[in-house]
Amino acid sequence: MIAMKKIKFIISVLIVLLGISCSENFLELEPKSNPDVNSLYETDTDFKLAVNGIYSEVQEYYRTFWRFSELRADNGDHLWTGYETVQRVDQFRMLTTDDILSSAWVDMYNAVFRSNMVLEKLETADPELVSNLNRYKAEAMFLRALNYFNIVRVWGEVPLALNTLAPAEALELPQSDVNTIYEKIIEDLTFARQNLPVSYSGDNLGRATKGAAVAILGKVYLTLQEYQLAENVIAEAMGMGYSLLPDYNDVFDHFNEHHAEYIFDIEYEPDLGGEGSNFANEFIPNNPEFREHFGIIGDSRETMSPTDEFIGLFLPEDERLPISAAKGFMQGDGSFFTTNHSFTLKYIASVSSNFDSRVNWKVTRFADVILMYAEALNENDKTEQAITELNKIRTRADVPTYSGLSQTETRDAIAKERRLELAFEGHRWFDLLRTGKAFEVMSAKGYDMESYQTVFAKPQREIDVVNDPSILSQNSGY
Amino acid sequence: MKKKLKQEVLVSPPLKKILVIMRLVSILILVFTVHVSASVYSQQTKLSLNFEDVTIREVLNQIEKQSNYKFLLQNELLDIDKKVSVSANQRSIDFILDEIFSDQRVDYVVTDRNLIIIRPVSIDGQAQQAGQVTGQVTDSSGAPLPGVTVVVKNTTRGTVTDSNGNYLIKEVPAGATLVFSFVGMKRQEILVGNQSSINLAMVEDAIGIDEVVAVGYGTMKKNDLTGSISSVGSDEMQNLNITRAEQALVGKMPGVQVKQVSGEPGASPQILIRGINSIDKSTSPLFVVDGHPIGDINMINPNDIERMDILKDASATAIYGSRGTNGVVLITTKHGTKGKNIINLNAYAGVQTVSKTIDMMNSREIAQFQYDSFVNRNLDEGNDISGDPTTWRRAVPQLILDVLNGTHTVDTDWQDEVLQSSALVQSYHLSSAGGSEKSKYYISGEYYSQDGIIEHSGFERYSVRVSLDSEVNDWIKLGGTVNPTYTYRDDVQTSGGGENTSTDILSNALIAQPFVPVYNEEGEFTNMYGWDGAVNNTNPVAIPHLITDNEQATKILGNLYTEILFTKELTFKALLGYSILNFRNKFFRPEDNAFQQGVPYGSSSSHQTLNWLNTYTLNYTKTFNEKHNLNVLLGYDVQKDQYEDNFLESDNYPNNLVQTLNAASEIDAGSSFEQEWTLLSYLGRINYNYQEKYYLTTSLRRDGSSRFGSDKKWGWFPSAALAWRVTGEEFMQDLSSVSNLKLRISYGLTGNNNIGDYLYVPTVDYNNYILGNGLAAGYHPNRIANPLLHWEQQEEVNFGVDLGLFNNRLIFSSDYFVKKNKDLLLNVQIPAITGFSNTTTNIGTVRNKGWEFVVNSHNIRGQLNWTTNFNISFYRNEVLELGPEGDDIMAGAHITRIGEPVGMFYGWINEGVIMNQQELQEAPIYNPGGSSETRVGDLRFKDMNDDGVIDNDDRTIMGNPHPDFIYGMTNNFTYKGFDLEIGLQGIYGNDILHGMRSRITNTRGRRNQMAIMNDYWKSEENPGNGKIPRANNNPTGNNRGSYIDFWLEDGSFLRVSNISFGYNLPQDLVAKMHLQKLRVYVTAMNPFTFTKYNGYNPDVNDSTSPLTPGEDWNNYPLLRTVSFGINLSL
Repeated sequence: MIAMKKIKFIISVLIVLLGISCSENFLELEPKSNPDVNSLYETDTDFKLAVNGIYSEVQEYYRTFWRFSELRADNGDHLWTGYETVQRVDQFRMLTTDDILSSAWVDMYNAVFRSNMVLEKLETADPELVSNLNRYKAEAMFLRALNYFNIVRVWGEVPLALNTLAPAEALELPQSDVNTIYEKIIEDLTFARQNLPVSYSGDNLGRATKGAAVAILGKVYLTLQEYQLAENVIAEAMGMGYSLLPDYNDVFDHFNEHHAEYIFDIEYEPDLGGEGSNFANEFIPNNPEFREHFGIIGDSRETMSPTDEFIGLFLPEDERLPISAAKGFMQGDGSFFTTNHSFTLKYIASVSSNFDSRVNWKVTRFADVILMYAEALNENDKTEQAITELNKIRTRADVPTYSGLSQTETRDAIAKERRLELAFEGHRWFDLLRTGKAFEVMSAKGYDMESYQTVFAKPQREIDVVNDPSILSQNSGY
Repeated sequence: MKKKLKQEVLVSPPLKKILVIMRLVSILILVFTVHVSASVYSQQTKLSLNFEDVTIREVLNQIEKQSNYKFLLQNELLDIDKKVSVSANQRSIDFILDEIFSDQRVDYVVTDRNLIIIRPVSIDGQAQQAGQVTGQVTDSSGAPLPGVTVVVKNTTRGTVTDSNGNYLIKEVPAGATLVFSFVGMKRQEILVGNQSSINLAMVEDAIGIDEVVAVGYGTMKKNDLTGSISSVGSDEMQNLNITRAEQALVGKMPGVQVKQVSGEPGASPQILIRGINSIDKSTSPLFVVDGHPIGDINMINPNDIERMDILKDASATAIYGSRGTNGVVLITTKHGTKGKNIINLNAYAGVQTVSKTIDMMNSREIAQFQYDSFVNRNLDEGNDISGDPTTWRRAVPQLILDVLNGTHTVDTDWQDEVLQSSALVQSYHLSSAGGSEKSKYYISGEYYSQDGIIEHSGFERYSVRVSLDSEVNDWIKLGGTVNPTYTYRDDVQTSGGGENTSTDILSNALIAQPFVPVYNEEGEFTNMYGWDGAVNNTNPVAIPHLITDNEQATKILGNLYTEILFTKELTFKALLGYSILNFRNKFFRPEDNAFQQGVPYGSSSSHQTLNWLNTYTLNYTKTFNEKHNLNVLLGYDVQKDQYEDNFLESDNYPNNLVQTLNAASEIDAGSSFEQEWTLLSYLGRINYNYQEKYYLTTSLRRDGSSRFGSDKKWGWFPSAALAWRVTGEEFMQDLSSVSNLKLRISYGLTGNNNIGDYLYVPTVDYNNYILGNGLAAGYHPNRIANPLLHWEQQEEVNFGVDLGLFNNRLIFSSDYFVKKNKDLLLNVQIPAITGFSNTTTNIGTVRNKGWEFVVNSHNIRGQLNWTTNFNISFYRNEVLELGPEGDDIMAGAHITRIGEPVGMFYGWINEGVIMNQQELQEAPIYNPGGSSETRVGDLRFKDMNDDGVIDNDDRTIMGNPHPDFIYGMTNNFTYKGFDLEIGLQGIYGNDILHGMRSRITNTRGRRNQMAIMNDYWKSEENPGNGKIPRANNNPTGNNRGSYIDFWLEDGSFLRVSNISFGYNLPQDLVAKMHLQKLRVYVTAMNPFTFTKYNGYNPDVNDSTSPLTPGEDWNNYPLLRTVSFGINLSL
């Protein structure tokens, strides 16, 4: 009897034992709060969110991208001694080990990676499930092209990653020459131009549009000095319904940023847990009175202060002057408060917590497109037509229009107009590069620039990690 | 001499000749008075036997093979050829003897060396006429032993030996047993029989020879160990009034460093077993409570712990596989024992005081210092300093001048304001234990309450423990434990930098200027913003008074088990362990004048951990050919842990009235998070010994974990150990002074699986963008797939020797180990074009070598007993590999570099103050030509590259956070009923980065400065002590470079960790009170610390990261506690 009981008991225990050990996937736990990449990228919503993830990284690096596109140039200077690495950008003294270089590289390539991930996953996506497949593909391509356009203008020859890479693959991918990179940018933008919608509304407002693709593609062609292609492309943008706002000041109304002149912005909003921009704090002088007057809480970095040379370019009646640069402000009691440095008002917005403003970054707006069009026309020997376009900008600014200029004079006039119209909006340094004038202009103004400094140094960290000059080499001169 | 001879005769007989010898010895015993050297009857030794119809002789022979017991039959009248049946599993010896002699009237006495003397109860079996018994009690050297308690067993009658060791008890019934007991000696029971005179030699309680230790999935006789294991029993713990179990390990054993880093009530100490085994991951040991590995042992009430065994070498820890690297702490809780129904009360109450404060400047001193700092700054800048100092370019604040001219007389001692003069601690623990033949119980309840020395800090614990063990029938045992605990902790923030809006109390108290009053004229807490000559900070007195910050925890720990005896040799055990830990935290900062933040802020958070474990083990024990002792263990283990947390916060409260978030108009941020891990293991172990001379232990574990990469899901963790008990050999028998000599060698592989959950999974993270002017959700891959990611691995070789001399009166033990920790997880840089800049890879290697020594000595015995336990450990840690390029890892003030120990201090070395112009000309200069150029009165820094300039290239390894050695010593004294224990603990040769010195010795004077700064350089004529640079409002010459050795201090210390003095009331008095035991005691915890260190507590470590050891940012000061208590049993 006892033996029987024992056997029964043992059998029951064994059953319990087996029952527990049978759960085969016991060790395969899906992360609960951060899902596995492989469990996403399936539905339409998945892809929408993944594309938003690309925008998010672009939004991240655009917070400081103006250091490359604007601070490097001659419109303004960095005047805060407490932030030496930033000052070195302005003064052509950067070290290859500067964080600014490596963090920009990391962020920009991360944005590329996110695009590549979306594009790769879209290839095997079910079109039945992903109803906006083509739009997502076009958005991802637009953003990849924009990123590579920025990367190539900053560093020149770089690795061209067009799919996601394992670390071992990344160590083997050699840098591409500039033309190859531009070819790919053009290919991506061409697809985007064909597949992006003309406009969005509601919750989608702010995404890349056909107009954005056209404008950037036009700029790429201008950069490559493919003026006929540029003219053709930009001509399309001229007829897409964009128009100049009557009042220049309204362009920088941060409560209404998607106006008729808006083409593509990097979007920021305050009080949403880190979605605001830092420009309102970065570009202002360090005067408590100033912050109080404009309702800007927290630090001011005075990292960008317009130069006197730049301010002197404006005619006194130019409506753009008071918003582009000032040296003080009118206080409530009617007295004028002079700030310790001049500043631009383009990014002034009240800020309730540090570095969290509503101010968008304007990647391109219609005035930029008009001036690009003028530039293409002029280079294509259509100077008169070019002057007509240029005068649209002059008229809006309430300054005298041009007439009877030669092609060369027109070229200079357009360059100057771009400077006045688009100052501190991230165009100046690339305009100088595009027109081949960077070294000449900067040296003439006393900047301690060397001729090789038309591209930035590649981050030392990347050079060290790859540790093979035949794969990734430092730009010459550095 | 007589006695010694007899002992040898008793012990030596070969097993087979026992019956022959027996007769001879019987005669001897008849000739000599009973003079037996008895041993404590080992409750822990358990035997398993199963016989049907065999002779008693055979049973006894079998027991002799299975255990250390040897039998001596005192009378030939006993019938040992009688056939009996016996069935016992894991039974004590007396159970078995009762069984086999069930129809013979015998009594037995267990003596020294586990000799059991069996003799018949008087022939007619009736109690004879009561008579008196006299005799003399001596110690083992023959000297009379006064103060020995002699009682008639199972009565309250007894006496105590006089100064000559003599005793007399009247009316002792024949057949009664006398019980002789004396602290530090083995308790002996002597059957009176018809003797009227019993002389007895007491034998010291030899330390640890028959002890049974937990070894992971089982127990072993300490004698049979092959690995390195240190233990603490409840006896040793009862002299310590401790909050947490880990504190019982302070200074008590080699290789185990317990750092009491915080005196905050309820704070957990940090434990490091045998050095630093990782670079970037946890170095905390695995805690196993009654077979259940759990992360937090804070719910275990130390009074409920029977013993703690610390597994140190890899042969001991390898049975825990991927969790063994950092050592394993096995906690065995108290269970009931058969027949002894005992109620025990332990209650104490004490007073805590702060053990040390930091000497700071007073108002006048800091005002003068700051005045000088302005003078120097103006001189440095070439400004005119004639005229009114408030008109200088760098103006001296009016307030500073007011302090100096005596018109502002406020002089606040901020530390005194935040630290109370004393705080109360109290503890009440009531337990009841006992049981019948078949079932046993242990029930306890506890209340513990500790106030903090900072107001509004404190800790309370309520816990209950119920444990039942029952034998359902002769082949099934069932049992279980449930242990609910509730704790309440009133928190304050202490560690940190203390500036602006930070709420760390001590740091704010240290930097606070003494010329600022605690309260303003309205009687409110002063707002410490915007004071002239003072940095902005938060009023440290206001913080604990106004801020609500507490944690409530409900914890349930328990298990259920069943044991099945398949055969006598083969047992099966199933264990289900579970723990539920639930924490709720509340924080509220009201709107108040004292706080810069204008609005109230509150948060509410909770987190919960569920953990369950199933363990199944098969255990096979058998002796072959009477020589080969084999024990085989097979096991299967499955464990799961689930964690989740929630957090909500808001600063949208209407007022201070309601602190809960329902009052807030809007929640600012909320989040919840979950994670889990699983572990599946197969394990096996073979223990084999040949005649208890040659030992082999080998174990193997296979661990599969959810944390490991998909291509590395499973790991093998083998170990092997050999030991040779030299004293078991024939040739050692003549060397009577060596009672034990054992040589051990072991090797094992273990892992550290504290690598984080899901680290190998390519997860996505959430991020947002703005679309349509509002939030648009998004995500992105945030980690690269890493299918090869796995545990950190440790390979360890251990050599050990155990030596017992003079009947184990002197025990010496030493271990030498070499550990190689490889596959350590480090971030490896990868090309950013992958989308990531680094990935975690198993790539680092660290080697630890160490020596450990223990000496246990019974220095004096007799009426006065004195034992000493001393231990000392030496470790050397060296980084061997760091990533593919071997680059240094910099972390704040620390560098981790190949060829050096982990986390060395890195920075500039100062060589004293530049006293005059001539010295300046010879000195290397910081920032030459710049505004912060080195000047006279600044620190001179060591020019490492001899280029005459002090810059980043002159940084070097400036200090070592690791001690040369750690040591501990415990001395125990007993005299009659008195007992005294003194515990010492020490560390030697390490540096501490006294982090607050970057603020309170930074020479600016805008924060209050340490009093040692009063010796600052004032002028060439008045240069101070040559160590302290000049005051300077804008420091020059790298005087506050990050990091400089000016902030390093010698961290060596010697601490008296406990003094405990107790008195056991005499037995007859206690008996009259119907009690079994009554002890009153006074205990002082951490009464004295000897150190040169200037901070609160030299035993500090602000971070648990191996990369940043030895930093002090003013943690809660350690408290000195003096408490009075009683311990009574009935």
